[in-house]
Amino acid sequence: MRRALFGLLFAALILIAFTLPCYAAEEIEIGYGEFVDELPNTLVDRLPSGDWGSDPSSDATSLVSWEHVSAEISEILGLGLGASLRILAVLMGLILISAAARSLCASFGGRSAALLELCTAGAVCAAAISLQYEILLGAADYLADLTLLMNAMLPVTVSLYAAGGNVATAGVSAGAFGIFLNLSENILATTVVPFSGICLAFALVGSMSGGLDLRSISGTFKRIYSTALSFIMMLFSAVMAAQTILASASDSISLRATKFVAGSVIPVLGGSVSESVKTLAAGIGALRKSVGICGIALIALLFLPVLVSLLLTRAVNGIAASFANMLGCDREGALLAELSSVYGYICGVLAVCSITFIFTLIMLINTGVAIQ
Amino acid sequence: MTALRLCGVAILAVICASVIRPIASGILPSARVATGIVLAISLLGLAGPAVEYVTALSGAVGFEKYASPILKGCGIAALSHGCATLCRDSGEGGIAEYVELAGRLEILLLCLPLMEEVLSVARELIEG
Repeated sequence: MRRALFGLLFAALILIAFTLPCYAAEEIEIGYGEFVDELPNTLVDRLPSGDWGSDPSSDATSLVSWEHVSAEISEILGLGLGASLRILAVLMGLILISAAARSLCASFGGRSAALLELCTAGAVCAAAISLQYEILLGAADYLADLTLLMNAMLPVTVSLYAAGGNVATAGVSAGAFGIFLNLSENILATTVVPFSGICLAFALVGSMSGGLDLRSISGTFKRIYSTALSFIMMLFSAVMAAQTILASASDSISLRATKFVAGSVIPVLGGSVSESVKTLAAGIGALRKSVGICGIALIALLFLPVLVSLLLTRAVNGIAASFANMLGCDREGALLAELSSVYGYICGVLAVCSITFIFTLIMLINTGVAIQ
Repeated sequence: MTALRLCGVAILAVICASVIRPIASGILPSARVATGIVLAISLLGLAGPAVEYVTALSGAVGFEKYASPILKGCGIAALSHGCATLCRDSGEGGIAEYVELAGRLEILLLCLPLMEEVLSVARELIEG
């Protein structure tokens, strides 16, 4: 009887022990909290409300949710449309007054009428540039914020690569990131605004002088700048992709060899080590995808307002140029068409820069975990 | 005065000039100048409401500083052209040239603040 009781008691204790949660786990520290703290201020205001910044997976989900995306798009479009329509109204009003003044003074003939054309073109120029100056500066501010964001992202991506056993890939990625951040900060951010200024100066001289057509020089200058930029980005992307793939393959080979040796040499537990490493690899892979998507969503969130603003202003200048040409104000029409073209090039520069950063994050998402 | 009345005054002046010419051709230039001044003042009265309307509208929208030089330039061009024509009709071509030159310089001065604003923005963009 006593033995039976002891046996029952022992069995009960064993069963209770099985119900206790007991596992071995290691928290992967990738510096996500520091990354969230270093986000640019313009981006912090646009983040989803609630508990954002604690878990990459839920953060990525909330950033790409339909509610947040639709709310952001409607806010950006609403603000952008209002400002653009105001600029369009002012430009069209001035063009109407210019056209009326020109047709009145055309009857006088001679040089007074020509000087009045200069006056009207100058008035439209001054209005267009002073109203759109902030939008041009916004492009430079965007590049500065993008560089800040990617500077904050760099330690996280390196940690994610290293945690997955991609040590060589981490080194390659850090190097490539650093080069591109330097490029973005020192070349792109400092040349976009002067490039706009030079194109604008060409357009102004061309419209003010009347007989002098600098559109061909301006077009050549724009083509050289955009070709040089595209070439640099293409070269950077190709080299980075090749280096990442090679480093990833090298990491994979070395860690698989290590896993094989561990499985063969370690008695009894060698197989378990191999299996637990697979579980860890899956976790790190999911973490990489979440952080990568989070990073891409943040870049899109930063880029969208600037892109919408530039595209709307480009459309406004195009419409005003067509209106001016229709009313016979050729100088004003040429200037506004040139302004529209400059905005198109600026959009291209910013898009190339953003896409290159997005490409580096896609490399992070798609690079296999080496410890699988 | 409406355009109809102005045309009537102008035709009347022409008829009077053709009648006076064989009798007292010496007073023709003075009569011509006087008629021109009367017509110019009447034109100012005709254009006044339109200019006031455009000025008020541009002020309400906020582009008064851009519309104002255009309107002033228009007025200066019209005034200098009218005055130069009067001088030529009176046989003073040299004076007419100076009047037109003064008008053109005045319009150029009106453009200077606009050019300054444009060039300062362009300089800020280039300097970064």
